[in-house]
Amino acid sequence: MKKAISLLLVLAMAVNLAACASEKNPAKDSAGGTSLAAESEQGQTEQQQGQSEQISPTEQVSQTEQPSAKDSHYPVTVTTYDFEGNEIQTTYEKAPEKVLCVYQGCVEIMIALELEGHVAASYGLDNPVKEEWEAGLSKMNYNEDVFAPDKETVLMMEPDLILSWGSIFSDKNLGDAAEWIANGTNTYISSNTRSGGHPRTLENEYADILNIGKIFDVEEKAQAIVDEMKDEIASVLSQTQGQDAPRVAIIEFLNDNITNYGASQLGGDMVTQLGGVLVEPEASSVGKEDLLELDPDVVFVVYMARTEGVEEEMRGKLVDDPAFSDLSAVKNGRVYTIMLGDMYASTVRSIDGIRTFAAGMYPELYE
Amino acid sequence: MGGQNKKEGLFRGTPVWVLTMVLLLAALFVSLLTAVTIGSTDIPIEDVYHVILYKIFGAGDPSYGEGNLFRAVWYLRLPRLVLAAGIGMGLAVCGVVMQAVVKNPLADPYVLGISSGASLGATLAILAGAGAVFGGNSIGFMAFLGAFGVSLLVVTLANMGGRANSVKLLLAGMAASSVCSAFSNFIVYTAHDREGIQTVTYWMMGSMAGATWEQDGAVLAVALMGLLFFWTQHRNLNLMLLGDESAITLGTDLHRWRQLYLLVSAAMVGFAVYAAGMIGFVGLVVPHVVRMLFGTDHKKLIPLCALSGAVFLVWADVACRVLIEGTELPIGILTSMIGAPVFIYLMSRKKYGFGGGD
Repeated sequence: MKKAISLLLVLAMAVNLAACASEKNPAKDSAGGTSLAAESEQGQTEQQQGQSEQISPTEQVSQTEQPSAKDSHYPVTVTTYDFEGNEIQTTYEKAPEKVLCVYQGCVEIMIALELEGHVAASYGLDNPVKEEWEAGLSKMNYNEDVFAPDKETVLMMEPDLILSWGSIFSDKNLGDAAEWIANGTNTYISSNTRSGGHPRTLENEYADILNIGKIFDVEEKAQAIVDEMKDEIASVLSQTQGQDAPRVAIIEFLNDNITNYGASQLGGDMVTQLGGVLVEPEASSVGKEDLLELDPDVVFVVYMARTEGVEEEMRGKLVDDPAFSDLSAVKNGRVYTIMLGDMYASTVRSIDGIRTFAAGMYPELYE
Repeated sequence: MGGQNKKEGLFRGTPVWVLTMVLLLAALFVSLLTAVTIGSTDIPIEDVYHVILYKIFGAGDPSYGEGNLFRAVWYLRLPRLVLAAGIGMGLAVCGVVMQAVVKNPLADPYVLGISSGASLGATLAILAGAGAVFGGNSIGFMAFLGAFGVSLLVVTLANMGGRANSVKLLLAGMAASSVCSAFSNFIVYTAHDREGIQTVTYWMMGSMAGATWEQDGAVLAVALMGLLFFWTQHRNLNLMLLGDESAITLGTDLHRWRQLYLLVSAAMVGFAVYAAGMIGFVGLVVPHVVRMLFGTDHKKLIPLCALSGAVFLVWADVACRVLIEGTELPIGILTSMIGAPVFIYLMSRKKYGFGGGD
């Protein structure tokens, strides 16, 4: 009898398991699918509404009465990504008024575009903002005690836009973007934090800056910031025409490993666009011997500016190591440091990354 | 039969046991109702209960059935507490069972490679994009596959070259575990994905934050069925502590049972991992404390552990949310921080029996 009962239980469990395995995920999938679909439909209807409003006679009257640029700007639709890295379209009916910014670049872009007044709360600085941005930060309700907020805090804050990195939308943090969008909170992630192995490029940073400009109707300011970066690169390239391309390595000492930033990383892309050649464009890490054999002309050592003196410490790991004393870059004094924040999802800070790389690769230009 | 292998605890007798069960059930109910009022933001207590009353009985103001306050209580706080209770129950029961199956008081639900299997699955999902076909919770689903796959592997390995016994199971578990960790490390090392690596790390620490009612349903169903199943198996579990030879002289061949138990608990743990990542020490410390207080008879041990595990994890989850204001601690860190010292204390006590031949 007991055996029979236990056998039944095991059977029931197996059935449940199978049911869960087969049912749950399609259900989940379709749930995600429907909400996304619903979202995009919503977006479409919103757009259509916007369009039909423009055509409707009353609207035409009001438009002829007040032909301002602001009215025709919205609704705007921009492309961003969800936690899995899928493209999503989000529509803005007006400039968001209660923005939640999490992580360095997402906080700083709001200051650089003078949008501090639109920010409800900000979190997650890896390093202090630049001096000229400090006043702006003080207006953004920056939370010193907590690095990133939890879901309940964000829900009760009722932001209309969450501007952050892709990782914050994991189901253990804020939950997936589609759910937020369905409930009236738009999301925008730094494109270079999109998951799924996509290359990190300067072009993505430009796109982010321009998209934020579009969302808040400050496109000219955004364009100016992007142009400054593009002009810097163009000027470096024109002045160094005909020179041999410097052979560059970007490395970071992490525990006992040397991380290599290759061509698919933002730092690597900056160097390549500035006319440099990465000695190791592929590998995600290099050994000491590899580095000796590759013998780059210029080495950039990456550091995270969380503590005082870390910059010199990291540089020392290369220049003070007797194993590296024969490295050309060490002998010729061409070992430079670069802050991670200037070359990782760096938005408006990318200009500093570009300049640091350019100054190291072509010191004569910056003397 | 088999009576002399049981060690008695501090509290003896069936009435005491029944009373404790009733008290624990009440404690679980009260814990859930108290815990739901505590969160990272200040929501007035009466509002919280209004939402729950409205949602369950349809009583009160319909405005409590919408808005962010409603969503915070009904879709954030309550599901994660129910999930915590379900997982605490499952892990504590699996802990007891694993300890009997491998006849080792140091076993926990993750001992036979389940944890490293789950990590491998999660790592594959996060860094290699595997399991995207499963949609939303691809990480959890891959982790479940990893956990369950490794358990199957362990049973197969342990049966190679002769019948599996507890020692062979442990060895096979260690081997499978090393292989899985090696592959996880390989993926982490070769992936060039700083954010991904961070996601893996956080995922490994365990958290109830992703709880949804659908997940709760699945996890609770599996945990409850597992609990009932193992409760019916208390006699075999008691025998396992005596060892195979004694069991055979008593007329039971434990070989097949051991593998069945292993797979059933792998499914239970797999579901827990799927929903909340890895939560250490619950399956180790809760059974130990309960065993010390109530003895080693699995008939009493299993339901007591289930309830204590549930209550423990509900409060652990609350602590995670309030210890640091505005953000939350991964629950796995907290349970290990509490669990490890408690475990050391228990070990250092002289009067401690596991039951069986020790």
